[in-house]
Amino acid sequence: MKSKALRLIALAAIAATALVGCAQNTGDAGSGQQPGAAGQPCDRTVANDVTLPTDKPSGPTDGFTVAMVRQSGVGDYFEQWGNGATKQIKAAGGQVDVYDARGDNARQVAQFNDAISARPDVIIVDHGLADSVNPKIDEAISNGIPVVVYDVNIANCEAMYISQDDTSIATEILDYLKQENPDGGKIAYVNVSGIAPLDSRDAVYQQFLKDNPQFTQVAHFGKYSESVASDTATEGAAALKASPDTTLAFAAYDELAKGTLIALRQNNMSDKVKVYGVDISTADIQLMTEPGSPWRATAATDPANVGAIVARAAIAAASGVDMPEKMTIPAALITQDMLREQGVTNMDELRAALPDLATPELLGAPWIPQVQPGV
Amino acid sequence: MTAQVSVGERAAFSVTDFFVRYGVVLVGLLVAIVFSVVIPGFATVDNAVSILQTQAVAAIAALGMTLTAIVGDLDLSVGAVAGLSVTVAAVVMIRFALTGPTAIVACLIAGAVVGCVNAILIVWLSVPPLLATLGTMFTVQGLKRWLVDGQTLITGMTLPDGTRVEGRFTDDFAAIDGTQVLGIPLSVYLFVLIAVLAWVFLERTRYGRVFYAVGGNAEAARLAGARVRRYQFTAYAISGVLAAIAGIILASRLRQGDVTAGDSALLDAVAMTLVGYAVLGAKKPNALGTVIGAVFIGLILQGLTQLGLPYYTQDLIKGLVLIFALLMSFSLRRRRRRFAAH
Repeated sequence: MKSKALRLIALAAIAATALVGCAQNTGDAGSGQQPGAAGQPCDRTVANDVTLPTDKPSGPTDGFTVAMVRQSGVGDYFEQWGNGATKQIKAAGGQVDVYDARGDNARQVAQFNDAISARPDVIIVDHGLADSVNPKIDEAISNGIPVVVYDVNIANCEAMYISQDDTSIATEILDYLKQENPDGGKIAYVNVSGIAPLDSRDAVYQQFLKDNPQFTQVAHFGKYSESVASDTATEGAAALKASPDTTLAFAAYDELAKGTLIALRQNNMSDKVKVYGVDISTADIQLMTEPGSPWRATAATDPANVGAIVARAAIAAASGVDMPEKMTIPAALITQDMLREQGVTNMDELRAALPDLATPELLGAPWIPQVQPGV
Repeated sequence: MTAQVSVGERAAFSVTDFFVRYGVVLVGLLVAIVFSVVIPGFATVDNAVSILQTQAVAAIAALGMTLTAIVGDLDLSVGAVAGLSVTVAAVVMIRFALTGPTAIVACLIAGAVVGCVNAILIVWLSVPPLLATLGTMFTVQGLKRWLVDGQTLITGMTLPDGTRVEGRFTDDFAAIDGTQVLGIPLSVYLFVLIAVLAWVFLERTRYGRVFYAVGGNAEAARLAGARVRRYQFTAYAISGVLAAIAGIILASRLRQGDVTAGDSALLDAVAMTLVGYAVLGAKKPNALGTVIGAVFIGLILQGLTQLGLPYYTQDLIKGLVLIFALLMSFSLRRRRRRFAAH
């Protein structure tokens, strides 16, 4: 029996060695990135100060058609985004055909095909896997259909790429954190690695720690799973037990912030720790304004406004305007004090209370009717 | 090897035997000691309570799963049912602004219904247990999202038809996981109570022995006069209710209708139940083993999290721990009683 167990262990050891061998064979190639492979994102030039021509371009405007190829339209965020975009397109006299893959990446590619066959004046791609949508974007552009992409780092530089400005998001919230806590503090850092926008925010945070030695990181947790908020809460409850002296928490997006709030409550630390987050939704507003809520502030863009900006880019592209390769949308700071003072309870009230959230100047033009996104 | 032909459980003493019996407990103690030395504040009552509170959700679901494992096979729908509880609680209290007790009753009914569906599929319609519960798992996961249109239900949100929901999680419901008595949350008392009841039921009553008899050899149990189908039915129904109770605790902790909650409780519950096989050399699903499995896994996860290891390494270690426990149950000794599931 024992010899059998021994043999098993030996086998495991051999297997492990073999695996290590494999790793070394492939590990020499470089630092992870496979260079020059087809479908790699191109180096885009960011042009945030781009303005549209004041005179109406020659391209089609009345009754133009926009195909919106979406990875998902379900959930608070995506619905607001879609409504913002649709409203702007309709206001400009266009027609929208929405292809909603409901989170199914394969279906998104199939629907992309349908969208190209329908010969719209422009295609909007909202989220998706870059590798899956890349060939379809190439196909659309070679068919003469301009493409505007939101939040997918795709390869073809002829398609315009719009995303949130993750650097501005992280800078905005960390500046406020420092402003509220000038003497520094002990930070619980809630973030996960391997997701592009979160990694950009991480870079800003790491620099912040270097530049501001009065802030130290005492805990780091966060779980990216099928249920982020509740799993992050479980982890946070354990991690915060080991760091009871935590005074601040920085969560890199709102589901992580939700998990942090639950963990703090479970550990009876809600009155000792101030939470700083990213993103905003009606649910987030509720959590921030709740009596005794430690969530002090969040940096975010308004999804409906983002949808409207992407729509304006699409309208301009359909009208024949030469669009830049990339544009990023800056974030606004939303504080707990502001929400409470103005009695804000949902996104609509927030838009009324914080006009900064709407950015009609971004890609605005006299020949594109202005809309108030989300109202 | 073949010398120990006497009686499976009472074989002559050997190192292997000792390890099989006390391996999990010893490793657990070792891990606890190492963490206590390495992590300041690990060996405190506060931290121990935190471990129990964290594990209570999956552990209660695992106790239900233990019952089904005795008579048939693992109930794979427990995570989905726990999640269904979170959604039902949110719908009752937030959407319809009803009271906490109403929400609890609704959750228990929902759990019992799913448990009975499992039982009907398995006992009357002869679907293999693992496949039947897998089917209900997917169905319930879809059902809970359908109930709330895939959205997290929260006070103050606007529904697609334009109405605003004004209800909120009531204080009495939030107290289940939020209120402490003598420094221990009510949810931990509930967990301990359910664990003791399950243990007494399985180990100290006639019904418990029949449960094991049904699982060991259903035909023999039937010939001995046991109503086999009734026992199988009961096990799956109870499992549904226990999973619902686990979900009630989770809902009380989250206080929002998180549609994804509960899904991760399934794998934890499976791990606890299977580690339980290895506790004290039981080699069969048992209540004490499941509870020790829950504490064992909780201990490891709590320590690793406090050491700052990222979550994916924890999943890896959880998997290795499970395999270690399975090896002790199934591989270290050849002669064993065949109670285990197929």
